[in-house]
Amino acid sequence: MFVALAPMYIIAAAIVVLMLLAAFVRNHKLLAIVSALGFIAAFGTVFSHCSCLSKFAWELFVVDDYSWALTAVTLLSALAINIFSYFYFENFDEQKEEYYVLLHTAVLGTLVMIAAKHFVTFFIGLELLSIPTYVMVAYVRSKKESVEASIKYLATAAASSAALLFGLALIYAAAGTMDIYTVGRFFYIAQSVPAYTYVGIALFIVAVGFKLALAPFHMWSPAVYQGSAAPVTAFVASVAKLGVIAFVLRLFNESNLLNIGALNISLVVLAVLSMFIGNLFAVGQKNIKRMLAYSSVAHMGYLMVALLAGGMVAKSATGFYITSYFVATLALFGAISVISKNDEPKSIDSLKGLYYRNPIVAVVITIGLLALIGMPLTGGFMAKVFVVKAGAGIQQWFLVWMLIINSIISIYYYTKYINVLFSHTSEEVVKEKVPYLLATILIIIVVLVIWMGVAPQLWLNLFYN
Amino acid sequence: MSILFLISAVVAVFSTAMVITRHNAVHALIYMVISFIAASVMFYTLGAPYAAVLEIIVYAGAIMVFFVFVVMMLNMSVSPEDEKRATGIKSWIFPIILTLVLIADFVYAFIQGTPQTNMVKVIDAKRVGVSMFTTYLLMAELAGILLLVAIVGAYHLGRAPKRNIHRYLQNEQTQK
Amino acid sequence: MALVGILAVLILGALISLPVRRIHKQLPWYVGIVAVLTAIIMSFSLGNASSGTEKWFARFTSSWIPAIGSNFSLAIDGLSYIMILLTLVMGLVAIGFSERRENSSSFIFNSLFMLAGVVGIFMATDLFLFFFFWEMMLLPLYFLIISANKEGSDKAAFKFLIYTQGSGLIMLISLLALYFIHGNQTAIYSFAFEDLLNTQMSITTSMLVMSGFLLAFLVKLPVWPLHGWLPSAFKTAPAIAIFSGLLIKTGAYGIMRFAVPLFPEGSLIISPLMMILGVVTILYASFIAFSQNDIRVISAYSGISHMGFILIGIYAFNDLSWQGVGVQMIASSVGTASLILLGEIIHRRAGTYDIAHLGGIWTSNPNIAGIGTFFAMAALGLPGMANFIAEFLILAGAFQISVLSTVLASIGIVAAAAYSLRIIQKVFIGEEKICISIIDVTLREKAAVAVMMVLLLWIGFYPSMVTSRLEPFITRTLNFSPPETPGTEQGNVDEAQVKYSFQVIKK
Repeated sequence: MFVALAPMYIIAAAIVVLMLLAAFVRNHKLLAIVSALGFIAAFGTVFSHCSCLSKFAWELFVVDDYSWALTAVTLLSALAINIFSYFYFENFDEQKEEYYVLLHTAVLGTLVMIAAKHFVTFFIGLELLSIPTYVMVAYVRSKKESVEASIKYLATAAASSAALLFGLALIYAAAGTMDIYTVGRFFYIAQSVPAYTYVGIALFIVAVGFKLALAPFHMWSPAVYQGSAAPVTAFVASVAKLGVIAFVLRLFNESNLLNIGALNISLVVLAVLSMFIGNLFAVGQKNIKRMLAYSSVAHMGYLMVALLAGGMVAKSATGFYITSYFVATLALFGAISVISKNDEPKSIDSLKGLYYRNPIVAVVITIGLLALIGMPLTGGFMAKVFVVKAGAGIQQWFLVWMLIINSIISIYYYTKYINVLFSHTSEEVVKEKVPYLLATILIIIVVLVIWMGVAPQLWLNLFYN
Repeated sequence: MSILFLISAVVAVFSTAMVITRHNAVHALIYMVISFIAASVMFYTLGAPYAAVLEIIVYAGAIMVFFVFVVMMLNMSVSPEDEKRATGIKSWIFPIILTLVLIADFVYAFIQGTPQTNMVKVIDAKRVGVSMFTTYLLMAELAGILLLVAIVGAYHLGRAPKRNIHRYLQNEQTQK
Repeated sequence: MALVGILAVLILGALISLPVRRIHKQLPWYVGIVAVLTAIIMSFSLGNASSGTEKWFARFTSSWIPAIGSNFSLAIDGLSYIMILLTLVMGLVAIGFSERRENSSSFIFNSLFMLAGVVGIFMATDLFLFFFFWEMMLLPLYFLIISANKEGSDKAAFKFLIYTQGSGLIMLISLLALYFIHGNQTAIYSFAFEDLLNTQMSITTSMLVMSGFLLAFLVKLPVWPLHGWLPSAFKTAPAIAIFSGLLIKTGAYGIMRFAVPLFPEGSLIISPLMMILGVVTILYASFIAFSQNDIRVISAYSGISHMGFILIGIYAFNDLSWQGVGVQMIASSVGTASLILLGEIIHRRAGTYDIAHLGGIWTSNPNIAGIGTFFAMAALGLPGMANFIAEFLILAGAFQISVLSTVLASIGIVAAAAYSLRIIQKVFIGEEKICISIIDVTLREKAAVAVMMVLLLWIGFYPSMVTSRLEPFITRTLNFSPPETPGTEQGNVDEAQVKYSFQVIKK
């Protein structure tokens, strides 16, 4: 009976355990290990693949293969972030133990959203994800830019949550229920829906656009990416978006919302705007994290194309794209957090000649960037191909062309960073050492990137119901 | 649109605007209470007395008390000279006016009744409780975890930063 | 099975070369040489199994991504076989020739991966796999260019990437368009070449889709005005130049193998434009080559002008010129590689690539001068060398289609003579301008040069070795039945006329 929601139970238990542990023993290493064990234990339950929901949960949650696959992705990403955070925060003079409580709660929020079939579940999951994230962004309080980023994030996220709530209320007023499937049936049967329903849906999309950093709701993203600590950026870039994407995908698939012409058009506009704004603003960026922020705006634009396709195609293409994007992002931010021992790379010049100082990290960054470009042999390429195929399948040739043009634009700013890694500097070459665990994790992630690029069928099957 | 609803809505918007523009924290809190009361009256005029009462109890009662506690603890009070001004008639006359408007609104609605209040379907506390403990049980639990993490986060962010005193000065401090 | 084996050997060699550096510094180089040699031997063994009647003489198919209908299917016929051998031999030369101090394991790693990618392109019969290998060969070359560590490498790498990746993405769109059109008609969504061959399309659609493919192939070829990436790539390192020389053959291969058979009517319509482009490329490149002083740039432009010949030859659509194209692909690779080798040999002794600053090498290094003269003669198309056969065949075939193009192209041959002789004149004859070390040709250089010479002479005297391999492929490809629309019978008419000259070549 408990098996279906087991990951959530385990993570919730882990939250309590971690808090108590932190209260009695102030030991960073111990808590990091217990936190990692919590993620591993939760991951272990994924293999049960059970859809048996208890009577307390069947109205709020839905558990199917799709949600199990995304749960697994979330937990593994969280595990990687856990390890990166441990090594990163060792260098800072803060109380580090609360971080793991926050991380677990945010992950719990994501898991809730992945399995949500009720708008209330989605909302609570969203808040469970957002509130710890505000604190995580500001975690290293000595860094002014972290705190500033957190304030910006908090203000805009609160506004978007308010908009979301209002939108959900309007949808509820029209449909009479907050269950996704019933809402879907309502849209399917209803001859005409009241006008305020569209306002409700629009507000919902606004909130989703904010969370995913789609243009024009992306303004918080560069500040947060640049200001927060590298592992936290990794979290915001990956897991924080996953829950919302999963829920939106389920919503679009189950609820016939995509049949609404206005919604379709607005999503197309969002997608194209995100692609262009993301890519064009990324071109001039000197800070790698800021560049990655804008590039993730563009990537979410590409993802929108897959979401719009609808049906099984959307599920598999989106799932694959998310996974390959996460793996690449984790590789990149993990590598950045490794080289941030003294200070984060402020500008592109601090990466100069990294290959000669720290070959493993440089290769990881290279492969991560190549995956984001969409070079074959990396998962990013297969992901782009599937998305293009999804877009072409619904005859959205305009979107497909925008995707291709933007991919070409993106080559420029990614290769700038790859080039700089291999450029020779005149300084002394001092080889840096990377802790074995970190190096292993990074190499595993990179192998995953390449594996997804060479043999994607295995991964696609995970997302095919 | 019912005129009663409109009046309380205008009061709500106005008092919320006052909340964010006051310099004195306690004044802002007062206006916030008024905005909650206005929301409660709005619920009532729309035919949801249970929600109206819950609004008063939970928001104005519990949450605002929390706020006032925090303001007290952080000692954001004013100096004695300003205290005269802060508690002068100019400070409290306007909230009183707003509250009187709301009371009038509510009493009128209670006596005359709006179309909605006359056809109200009574939802008792038992039904809400049953719903919260069966259908939405997990949501209630998760909301609890949300509160927990909010406390942890606030604790971390609000902690006084560690002050590093040089060890020579540390000895001096302990000696003194 | 052997097909996968060749790829596997190359990729394994690449992977092994990384860690063995710890054992001994020179070990990656040996690993590279051994891997390529093994691959060459395996390819030879394939060639002996040819039967002549079947279309492909070795096949391998395995399921890869059923979700999109793409299989890992490889196959080779005459054309692929020749190209694979050419690639591997030139790869061997490039690796073998590279300086010991340039040898890092990343160099061998990237080179082997690139060779695997190019060989894969020649083997793939599934269009998605083809595209996969297409992009796969770009990456290692890009990394080679970046790590070459000369001043212009960043720009060269960037230009290379933008040109090839951009056009590759456009090819992806065309590929997907073809895939979807075919799928809509037959409800079979597949990327296999044979399945996509007979897709019915309107002329406009077919032209649009074809132009996507052609764009990518023409950038690779490279044809004027899309040639900007090649000269800067040639300047980075000799091995890179040789590899680039190999890469451009994939453009020609792509047109012959895919663009023409998939879109026969479209190809016929566009052939006058292609002939014009080819002529412009030849003339432009030859004249530029004449005015350049850097021997690597001369070699690059000479390669470009050869590709102009190839373009004319392909779009003349007759057996003669296609035979010429096949020989020209080999001749051009070997020819440009030989000039690069020459430049590198001189550079190692004189410290410069600039022929304006060199002079009178004949007296101090007669061996090098002799080698240089030989290669220059090859570049200008002396009878007895491969270039002559190639250009003759192409022009003979093209003459039947368009006299004007042939005449203009022949001017290109004259220009080729001009720049080749200019090299000899500036570098070898005349007074000595700078001091040059008199170290004689080393063993490695001798080996590389010998391979080149043998290839040039062998094909120059005995082209039937190549042409007989190509014959089945050519007859099969060019015997497409023209559509019912009138005015496009150019291909058929000329095939009939040309049979007799075909017999002449076979002797």
